[in-house]
Amino acid sequence: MNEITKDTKAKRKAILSTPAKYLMVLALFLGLAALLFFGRLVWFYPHLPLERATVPPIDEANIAPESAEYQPFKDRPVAGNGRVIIDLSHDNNLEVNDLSPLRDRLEARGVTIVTHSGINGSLRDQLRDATALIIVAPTMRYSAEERDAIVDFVEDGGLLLLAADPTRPVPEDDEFDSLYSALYPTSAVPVINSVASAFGVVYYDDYLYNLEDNAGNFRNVRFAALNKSNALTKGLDTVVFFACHSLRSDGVALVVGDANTLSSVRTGETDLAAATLSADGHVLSLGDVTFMTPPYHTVEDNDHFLSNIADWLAVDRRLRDDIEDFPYLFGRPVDLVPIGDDLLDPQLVTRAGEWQAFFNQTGLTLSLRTEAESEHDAIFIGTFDNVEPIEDHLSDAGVTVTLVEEEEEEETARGGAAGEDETPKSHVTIEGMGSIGIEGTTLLALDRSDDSIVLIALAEDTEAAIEAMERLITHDFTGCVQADAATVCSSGEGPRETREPAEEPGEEEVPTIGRIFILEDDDKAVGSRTGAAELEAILSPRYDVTVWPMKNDGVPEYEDMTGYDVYIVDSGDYAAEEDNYDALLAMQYIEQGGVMFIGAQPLAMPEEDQLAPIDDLQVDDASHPLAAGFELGEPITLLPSESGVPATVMSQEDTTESQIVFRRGPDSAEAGAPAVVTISQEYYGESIHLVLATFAFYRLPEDAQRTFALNAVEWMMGE
Amino acid sequence: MSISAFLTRVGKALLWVIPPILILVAAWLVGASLLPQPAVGIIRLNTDIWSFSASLVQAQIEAALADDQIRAVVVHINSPGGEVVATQSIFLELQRLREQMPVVGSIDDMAASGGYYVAVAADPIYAKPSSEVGNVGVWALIPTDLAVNDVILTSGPFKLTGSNRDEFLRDIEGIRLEFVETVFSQRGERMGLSRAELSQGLLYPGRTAVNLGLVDHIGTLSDAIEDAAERAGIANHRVVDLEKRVLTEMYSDSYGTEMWIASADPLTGERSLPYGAYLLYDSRLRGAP
Repeated sequence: MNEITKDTKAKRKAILSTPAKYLMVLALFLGLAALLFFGRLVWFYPHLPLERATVPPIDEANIAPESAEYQPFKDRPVAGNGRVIIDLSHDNNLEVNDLSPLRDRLEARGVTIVTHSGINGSLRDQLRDATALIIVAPTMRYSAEERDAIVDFVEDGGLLLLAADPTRPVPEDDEFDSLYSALYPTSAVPVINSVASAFGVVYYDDYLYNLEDNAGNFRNVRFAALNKSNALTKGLDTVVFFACHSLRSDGVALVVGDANTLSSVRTGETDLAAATLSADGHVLSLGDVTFMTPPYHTVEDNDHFLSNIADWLAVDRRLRDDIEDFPYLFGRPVDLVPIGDDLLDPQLVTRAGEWQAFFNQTGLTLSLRTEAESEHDAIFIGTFDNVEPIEDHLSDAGVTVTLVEEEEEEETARGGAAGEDETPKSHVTIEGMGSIGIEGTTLLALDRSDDSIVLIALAEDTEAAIEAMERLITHDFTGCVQADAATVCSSGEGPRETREPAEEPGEEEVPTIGRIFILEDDDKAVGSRTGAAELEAILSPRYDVTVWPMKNDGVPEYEDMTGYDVYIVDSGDYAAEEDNYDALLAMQYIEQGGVMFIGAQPLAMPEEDQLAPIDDLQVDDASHPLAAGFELGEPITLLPSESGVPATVMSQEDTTESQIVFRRGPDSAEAGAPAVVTISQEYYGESIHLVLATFAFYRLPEDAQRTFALNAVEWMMGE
Repeated sequence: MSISAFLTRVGKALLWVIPPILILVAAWLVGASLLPQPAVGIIRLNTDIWSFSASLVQAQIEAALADDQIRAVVVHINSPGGEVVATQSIFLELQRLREQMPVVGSIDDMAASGGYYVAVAADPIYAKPSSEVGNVGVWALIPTDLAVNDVILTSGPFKLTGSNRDEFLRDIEGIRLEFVETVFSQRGERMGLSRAELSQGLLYPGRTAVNLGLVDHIGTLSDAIEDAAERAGIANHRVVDLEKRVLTEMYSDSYGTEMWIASADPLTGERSLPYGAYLLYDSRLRGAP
């Protein structure tokens, strides 16, 4: 058994000693090596790479940019007439030839084109004989006076073309930083809106774009929705505007974007208008300028549109039916006829020669005659005491001249001093206006009742009558009050008529001359309204009144506020705001005249100022002109405040140097505290009258409103 | 035991040990050679795109192609865009790379304009929830329009300027269309925007961009790396910063050179931009040219 075992072991030993045994070991290690290799494979590359999608090619067919289509248009001008003013006095952002296509078309229609640069007279002067005004890309704000002139012009039948676009902002002074100013422009939209808003048009500070269908670029917008019924857009299929504003207008939309034409700021809005015409057809507003300029005026139907615009501008729609249209109200040769022997003096003859030259410059003729020819228009010039030859004309103009003998006037004066009934002085009565004494007064009356046009200039004496004619020539109607067919001016020599306070409604009124600026301080957060509308209604029949709503128009600038006799800052029932001194800042522009601050909290105040409701007033100083017509001791109950904002309680210290005219009434909190005070100051040699009233004007009863407003204005004017 | 007998026994023992060891070593060497540890390369675009930055990206692409171990690439983008041609150059090079290996995009802060143009060369694209993505379009300063004159005589109307306003506008429009079609070709049906909407040039937050199909996933660079590895079928890989490798090769140890590429003027930080650009114009980037 042991031998067998030993033999087996020996055999095995012999086997293990063979090369086969050796190879087995090597194979084992080779297997280990393979395992190592595949382990590494699985470790680092656990699966095959995912199938990669091929890189997709680009569809080149879609890369085909379009260009704007230039389309020639043969202009067929129809003879027109008129005088078109192109206003370039407001730093207009235009290149030299930008308006050439429009100018060429206007000239082809026989229209006279005048460029107003601002150095050849005021815009109002330029518009006197104009038929149309073109305002393109202005970058300097229009003053209130200019805006009024344009409004008057349009109301008088003039045509107004407004155009502005977002690529024409306010130019920067620093030409070396032009790129910066191009990228960060100062918008000129407020500038164009300073005119457009007067006609119910608003330019939005945006640009229109269309990413779906455009003329080569998103901002080159194709407009196919054109008003086919309007002559301006009749016959057009498509116009292209090159970066244009959207507009809002009370009138008719002429050019409207489609559903894909969007505004850069009016998110989600469509059907946006890019050109509008006012309801009366006198104001055309365009949101783009570039489409009028070379070469873009030839794109699509732009040129046709431009011709239509030229046709529209070349029609004289101007009404010339009042004195302000002098001398263009005359359509025939004019005879200058003196009335009264004493006017036939050398001075008149000399002046008549100058006036003839003036008429000649305007294409009219003027002849000095002793009698008007029937086929001519006429100007009668004379004095009030010699109106018999022209009474019919005066009557047609609604004017009656009443002369009172000098002795009678003196008697009246003595009687008035003794407290007796007053007898009328010599005066002129004008329909719709009232009466005014002839002393220191000049009258301009217009009779258009017959075929001929008759203008009458009357004054106290020859010199004043000539001055009246000079007013017409120079168009200087400052200090004048105008009715339908007559204008009354102060010659500055005589006393103004004074109005008896608290006169009954319907009582004959005597015109007073002066300009009033009402600053409606309504840009506050808390409050309801001001009394500017009531003030305007009361004062405008007698005075030239301008209302400036700060909420809409912002803070007025120097040029907006100069030249007025009285300034009224009406903050109504608004609560004063800390750090909101804009109304006071605006007051720095006042150089002379009277100022009234009226409102619940009429001045910006420090926090410690006391506030309390005010419900009534009572007169404190009955001798003060401001209290004329009010009863001493009789409370004036104020109407309820619409906002409930309490009023400032003035302390006695506030009024040390002033006069208290009204105090808070017995029903008011802090009864007896000053409510209306007046201050007279000398300011650089000029006398300034100030009124400070701490209640909302609209809260006064209607009759008290009238009395208080007229009293205050007259006192502030120093009358 | 005699010495000779001892040596004989040792020799026999070695005969049993050495060959197997050699086999294992050889197997290891062959495995390492045939199956190296794979890598995912990171190509970085962290600057404006202009000739130099484009050439740097191109060098990274070449490095990825030259390295057998790199089986996938992630393009890490933080760029407001830049020059048109430089951008297109990067795009085309990345497309070439994409034919060789997966290319995954990872947007960091921003892939605006040309930055997004580069991003669409990758597929898929990752972005952070608030990364800024999009701004498709182009802008350029209009060339000066010179009049014909008798001082400089030319052989053709546009010899001096190469263009006029209309032609230039056409060029701009063509470049926009190229951009839009490139995006649509690469994103395909994933795009949730129309061509017109894309042309608005809006910049979208990353999450919105995912919803609109401008990018594919919300995720980090790590997510993008893992996605790239998965697509390449690799695991336990290395990550190779190709920009660092390229810059090291180019400038020895001057890795900070990238900062010099980012802005034209390293002192003021003011950018000096070319006249035609796929570039987000953003004051935050002090982008005034």
